[in-house]
Amino acid sequence: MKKTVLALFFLAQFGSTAFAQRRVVVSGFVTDENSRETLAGASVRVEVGNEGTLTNAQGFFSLQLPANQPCSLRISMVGYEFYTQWFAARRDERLEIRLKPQARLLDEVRVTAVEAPSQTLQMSSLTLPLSQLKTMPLLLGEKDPLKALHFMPGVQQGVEGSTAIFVRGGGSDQNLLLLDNAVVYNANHLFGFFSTFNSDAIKRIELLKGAFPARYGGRLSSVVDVQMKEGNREKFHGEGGIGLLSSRLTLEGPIQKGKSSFLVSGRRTYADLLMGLVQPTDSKLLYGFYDFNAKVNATLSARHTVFLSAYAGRDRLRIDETVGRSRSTVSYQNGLTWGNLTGSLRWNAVWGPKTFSNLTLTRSFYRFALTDRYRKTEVDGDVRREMDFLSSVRDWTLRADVDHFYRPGHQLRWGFALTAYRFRPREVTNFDSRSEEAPTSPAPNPRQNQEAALYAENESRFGERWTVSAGLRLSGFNLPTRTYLRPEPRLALAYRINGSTALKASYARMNQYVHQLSNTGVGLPTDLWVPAAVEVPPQQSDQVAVGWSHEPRKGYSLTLEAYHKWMRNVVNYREGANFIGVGEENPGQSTRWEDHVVSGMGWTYGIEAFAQKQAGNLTGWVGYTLAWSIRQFDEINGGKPFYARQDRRHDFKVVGAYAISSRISVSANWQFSTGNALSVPVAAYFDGYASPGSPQALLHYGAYNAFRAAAYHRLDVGVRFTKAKKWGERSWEVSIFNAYNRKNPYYYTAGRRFDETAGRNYFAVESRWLLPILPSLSYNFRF
Amino acid sequence: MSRSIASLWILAVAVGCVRVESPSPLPTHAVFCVLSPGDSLLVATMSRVVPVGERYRLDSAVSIPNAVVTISGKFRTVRLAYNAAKRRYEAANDRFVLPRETYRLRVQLPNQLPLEASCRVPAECPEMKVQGEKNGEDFAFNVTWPDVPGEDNQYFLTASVEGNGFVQSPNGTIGIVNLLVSWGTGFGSRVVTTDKNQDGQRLFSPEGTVRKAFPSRDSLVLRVVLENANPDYFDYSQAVASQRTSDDGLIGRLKEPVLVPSNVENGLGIFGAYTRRTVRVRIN
Repeated sequence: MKKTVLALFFLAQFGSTAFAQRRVVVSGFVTDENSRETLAGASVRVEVGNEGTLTNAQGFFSLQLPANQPCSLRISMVGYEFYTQWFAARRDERLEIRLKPQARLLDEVRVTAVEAPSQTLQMSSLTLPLSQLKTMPLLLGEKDPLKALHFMPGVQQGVEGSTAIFVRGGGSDQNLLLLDNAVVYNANHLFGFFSTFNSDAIKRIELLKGAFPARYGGRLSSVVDVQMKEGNREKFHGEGGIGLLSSRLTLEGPIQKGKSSFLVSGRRTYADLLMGLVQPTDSKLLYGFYDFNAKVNATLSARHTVFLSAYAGRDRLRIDETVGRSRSTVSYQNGLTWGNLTGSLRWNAVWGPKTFSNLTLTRSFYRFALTDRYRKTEVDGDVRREMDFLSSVRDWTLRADVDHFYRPGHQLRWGFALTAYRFRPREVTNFDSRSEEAPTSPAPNPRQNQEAALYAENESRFGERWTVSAGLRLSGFNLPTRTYLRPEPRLALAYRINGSTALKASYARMNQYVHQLSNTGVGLPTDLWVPAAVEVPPQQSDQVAVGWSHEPRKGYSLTLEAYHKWMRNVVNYREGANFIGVGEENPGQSTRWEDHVVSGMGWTYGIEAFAQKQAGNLTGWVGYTLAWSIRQFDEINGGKPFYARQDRRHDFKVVGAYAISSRISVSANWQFSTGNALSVPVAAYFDGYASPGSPQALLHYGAYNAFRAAAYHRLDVGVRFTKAKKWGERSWEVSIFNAYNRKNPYYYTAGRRFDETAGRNYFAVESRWLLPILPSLSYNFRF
Repeated sequence: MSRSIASLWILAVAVGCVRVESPSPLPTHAVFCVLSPGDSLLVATMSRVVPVGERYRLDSAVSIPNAVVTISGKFRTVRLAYNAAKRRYEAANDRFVLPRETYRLRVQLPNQLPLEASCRVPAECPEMKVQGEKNGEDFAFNVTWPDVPGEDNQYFLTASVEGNGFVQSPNGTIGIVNLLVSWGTGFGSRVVTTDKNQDGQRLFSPEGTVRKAFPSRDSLVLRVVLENANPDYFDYSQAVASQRTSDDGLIGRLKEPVLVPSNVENGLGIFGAYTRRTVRVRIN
């Protein structure tokens, strides 16, 4: 029976065009007319018949049309005018189609959303409209893409202000953040309040929450694929802004007009400079961050283009204090630095009209360092104590991706990825000048691991209604003592009910071979990346999703999706574990990270609704999620299931921007979420057995994560004034974060208090909040 | 068609749903009682469970005089009497607690469901050897003992130096001697180990060290105590120790919460047991 089904499947896949008439291949790139940036996700369709496709991530498409038959090619993309071209091709044709931005949106739209959801096979994906991001009022006016993703259905934020994202109930470590295909291991600035992504340098952000194509792997819950702009190939262009927290500048332009271009973009906070001015010289707390993006690209020939991009970002906190005494001087110097360095070299090649390839070499490096210096200068000598903590992860990845449009309506994608990791989870060096012992500096003991993946995926359209994609990814990970080799099947189906409505379903298995150790989920720099180990095996998930997409009218879209995800070997920390100072503040604790984590099961399921309006004066979206996220570990909560910290039952979000005129626009975001599930004491009792004289107070939690934090809700509003100038355009933006000053809980604390009036003790659980109403002003310019 | 769509959604969400139990109602009392064949007294202390926000006095929270506390063994039941001065229930242990025997604790409070728990006293370690020597100015030693086969055993090993306190040095000055024992696993005077994957085998402690003594001495007397705790008491002790190190500062907030387990029905606390072996040894 199985053989028969398989035979029928392959017959359908490969035999459908056996007797078709002669066809020619029309292929090429779709680009922005002004900047010549390639456009991903543009719809390329033949008006007569059902031939059509989307451009891939590099803007390439390939269609097979009947030879000598007149037909019109229609290319569309939100934010761009339709492009129509008549054909009666006798032989294969290569095109570069330049889409013209819609005049009314010219000032706003750079690259916007993909085609209507009902027209695509891909489900559980969201493309962040960067034009919307530019108008969203966010914390201190910073246009943070990751924070904007918090407003999408199925995406939860962690604690107040944090950039960490939790997708469909997964952990913050289960997101693959890619910047030009290079992994960003820690995407936060300012202890998680801002992300490392500078929106001025970004061309496209796509979030995949499920239905993962076979080319993606390595994380259980999501892929955030960020592409940097390539640089304007036609003319020199710049933009920037001055905000309360930081300033930024982006320059781009042609190196050789039409053939090569560059982009450089920098952002720097000036908090450290301002703090340095107002603080006394003997006691300083200085904090600052910067990031820098650069990219160059060159078309070597009609078939070959190369891209080189790099990102460098760094945060630095310094606390210096000097205390002068009568006979000595004591100085303390504490420092915390962390940052990412990524590089990506990509070669795009077009191997004939049907085949497109991408070969990419990337390097990612994340480093976190903590220094603690004490120096006492006396007449008879100095006393010095020093401690250095270092944690880092580095990888080199070589990947190849090939798109082969082998028959009309059929596309084969295949490729491989090879990654070499070097982990240094924790290296501590101590020095004490008074000690007779030599400085304790453990020999570097990096862990070297290799990950490999091979994939193939076939997408085929059957008739007018069905599109099917079936793929297999074979991934492996190498440990010193064993090798994991795991198949990851992927399947996606779409059934088009009519021209504007489609039903979709998908299944994806994912494996994750690296773990992030984090106590907080905030995205602190202290979160450590470690490889899977025999005691803590790779995580694995299976996700099924079904969905319905509908476009009631042009520019409007509705999506409903339900999902269920099963996770195995998810990681949680043992009760009482603390990674910040294992071995220091908990004497006797093992310093092996493997001893502090446990592996268990996870289940997440829910329903997401998303309504979006992308055209007209009013743009924005409404999202709602009803979700459950559950974990179970033998060693936690007595082995009983419990709600994960990021479990939020209801999550409602509204994002809107309204253009009052070509010069003034207003915008607002509002979100409401059920509070997090937390472990907070509900009572106390006293053990007088061990210490009869002074019974020890013990806190009773009821159950793990049984406490529900207060609901989170917040309104942000903004207004933007734009004016055209001779040199370009400038805009002022006033925004208010947390407009009605909601005291959203940041954390809960429990402790013993004394009631003066009653003259008695009591235990109190109190919430602490962090971010009150925060107005901000920023100035932006473009030329 | 709409029915099919709705069915698919319900199927996707509902298949394999996992039930999370709601926390049980808050108990009103806790009881703490740990049995050991070597102890001459059976002791149980009690506490009221104080909900968050409720005002209390410690004295009244731990003084529960109106309970009937009994411990039942294989052959007899012992009732513990309330000692108001010590705010606890007591009874003599006249060879009542024996290794490998199971006991049941029952605490009856007026108008309440009884607090009940049972525990099995683990077997005693047949022997323990301590070997040590003076190593320069320090003293180093090792402890070894055979695991009791066929049982899950959890051990607490502690060592202390006898003679700590005020001493007079040869030149007449008086100082405080407080020689601390450290173990190869890190700081702290206690080693915690189990027989997981080592059932019935000979177990070895990490190397213990006593740092150089002042005034300098050629030998010292070491007192080594090995306790074999039953699983409930072991888990409870570990959790209590871990919860105690939590604080309200930054580090405390970044630490995972510690839930103290309880084997007491209708209440909180612990009814546990252990056996103890002590060795005194002089190290030269």
